[in-house]
Amino acid sequence: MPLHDRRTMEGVYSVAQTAQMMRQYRYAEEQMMRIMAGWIALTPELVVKLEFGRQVWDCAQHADILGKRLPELRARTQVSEPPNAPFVTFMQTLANREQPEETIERLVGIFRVLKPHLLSVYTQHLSACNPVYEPPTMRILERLVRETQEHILKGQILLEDMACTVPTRERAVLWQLELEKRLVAAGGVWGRVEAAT
Amino acid sequence: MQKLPIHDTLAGEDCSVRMRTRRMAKMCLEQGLPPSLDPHDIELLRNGLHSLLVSTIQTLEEIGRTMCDVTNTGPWERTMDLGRQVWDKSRHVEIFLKLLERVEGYSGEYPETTAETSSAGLAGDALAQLIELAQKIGDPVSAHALDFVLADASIRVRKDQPYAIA
Repeated sequence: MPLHDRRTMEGVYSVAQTAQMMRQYRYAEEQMMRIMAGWIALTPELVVKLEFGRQVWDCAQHADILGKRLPELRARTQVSEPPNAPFVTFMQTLANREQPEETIERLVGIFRVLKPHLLSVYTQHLSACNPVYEPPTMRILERLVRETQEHILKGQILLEDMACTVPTRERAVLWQLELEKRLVAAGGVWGRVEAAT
Repeated sequence: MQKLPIHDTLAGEDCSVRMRTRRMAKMCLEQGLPPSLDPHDIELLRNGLHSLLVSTIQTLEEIGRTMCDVTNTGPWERTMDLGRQVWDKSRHVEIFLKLLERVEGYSGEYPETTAETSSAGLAGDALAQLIELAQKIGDPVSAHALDFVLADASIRVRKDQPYAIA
């Protein structure tokens, strides 16, 4: 039986749209890198400090590969762009929990809200890529998906350990809810605000 | 996020005590402790590892804050280089913690002094001395692991040069 290439040539996003999304992902990764780097000095728990340290470098590499893809999409290299002002506010809100006793909130912001959102977005974008003419984008997204999943898992382990009582777990959930509201209001990293139903 | 927090607001583990070098030296004298440790003793290795642990945590915090506070307008390559340093320092802290465990030491065993150095060159000298000491007291595992840290420190000294000149 002869082999048939069943891949189709349909595509979802244009070159310009892909570049736009890459700049927005880069914004999220770059900001997350800076936020976690700044938190290292403000976090008392050594194990959390070290995990932030490890993930800072991963986020830097994510921002770098996204930035390097931009010239291949007729855009300026290494440029970040937030989707809209509410997303910038969301990132600032997430970053502002910097008291020593707010490690739980810091972990929630990154590992329960921002990274899971990015994982979902990267996965959706990956599934929309055309395998004939978008393999460079797919390679980048595959790496982002794989590493973001690993980050979330590690963060979840830290959170399970730190928020191990009912009051601390409640704190974590309330802060997650607050951030989720802001993230939804901003329309996520894509900046698409859905009409409230 | 608050920019450039003052030293007193930096967070450390509950077990760690920060004090000035002069105060610590005075306290040692008051308690009748010897001015220096036996150069063939495992206690010296433990003390040296702890000192490296403390200074590496401080360096990790400093580089992290630099990345957060003052690199928004700098070249992207510089930010990447800082990101790599943050990862390296995190790994080194982990190595020192593991080696401390091997010699029955622990984080917070000795007070942290505020005069700890973060210079890669001086840290390299301290590492070379510790490797020599580990070999002398028959601890090849520590010497082997520390040599990998020293290799990282050597490349860092070379990589710092362009920024130092600029």
